Amino acid sequence: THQDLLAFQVALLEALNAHPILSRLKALASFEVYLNTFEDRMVEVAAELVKKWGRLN
Amino acid sequence: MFKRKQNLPWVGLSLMTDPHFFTATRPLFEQGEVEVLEWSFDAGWEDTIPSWASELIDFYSQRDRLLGHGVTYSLLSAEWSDRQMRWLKQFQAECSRHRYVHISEHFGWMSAGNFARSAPLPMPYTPDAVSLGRDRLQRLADAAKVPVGLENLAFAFGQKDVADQGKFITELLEPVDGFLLLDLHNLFCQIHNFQLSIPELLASYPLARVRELHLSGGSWSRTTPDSNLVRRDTHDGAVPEAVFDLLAIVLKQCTNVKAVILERLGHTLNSEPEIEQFRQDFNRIKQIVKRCG
Repeated sequence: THQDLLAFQVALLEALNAHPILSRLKALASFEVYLNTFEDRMVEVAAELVKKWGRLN
Repeated sequence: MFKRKQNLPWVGLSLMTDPHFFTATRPLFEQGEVEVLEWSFDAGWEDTIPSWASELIDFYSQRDRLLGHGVTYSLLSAEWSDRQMRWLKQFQAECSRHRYVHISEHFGWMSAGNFARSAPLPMPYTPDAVSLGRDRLQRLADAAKVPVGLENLAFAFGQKDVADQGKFITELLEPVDGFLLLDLHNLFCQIHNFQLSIPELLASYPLARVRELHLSGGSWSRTTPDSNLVRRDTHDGAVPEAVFDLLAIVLKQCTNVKAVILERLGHTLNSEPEIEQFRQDFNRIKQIVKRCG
């Protein structure tokens, strides 16, 4: 299991599922550059999709 | 049986099990216009398939004109899950039931931790993510025993995802000598949402590996009244003119295309004008393939 990738994926889905997100994720260090490229409107679309399609342990 | 000139890419449909789809496409099937059929086989594991759909799958399988398209494998999920193990077992059984020309799946991931399913999402382009994806794709190839490929995503969190996706997919495909399923409406979404030019986006993909093309329609949405208009890959409308233009461009640049598939959600074919538009889109694709393929 790729633990750091898993942590990133779970944090992303939890953040989107759970509003002004990036701070929580950055608080994953190796992904900081990636996170800096997030664009508000695309995160909003992601949130919409996650709400629509996104829990089962 | 099928109306097709030698050496041209096959033109076909993505099979939907909704009765509206059957009504809309029946004349196309009966006239031998549908040269190839794509089946999202893992959708069939969750629901009962109507008999007319089963017969179509068998018909195209027996004639080596059936393409397999997975939706829920979740190639880049970081944790190898029980769900994925079950998926691969069902997939092996599927491949013994039907004869697929090739198998494709989506780039990206859709499940992690307690989240069983989301939309397909991109991953950061890192060596670890490449290693993970290569392992998962090798498992798919071992089970399939036919060529396997990946489809580009429409969705991206930002410019970096868009810039990296072609390189990322190239690295994933190389060890299995896999193919690229290039979805032209997904490209159209990124061209609009990230203000890119067609040449620069196409240049980022391994065009020599393109073996299949998808075309579809979509929709426009705003998340707030003042926000930018976002193009979404919702498969619920007519193919935009820009996507037909892309088809002509791509066919001239991609010399290994074997199949061109029109996608549309079955339940959206619910009126005569929508059905007529869908049939016009299909015929338009055939004309472009005949001219440029």
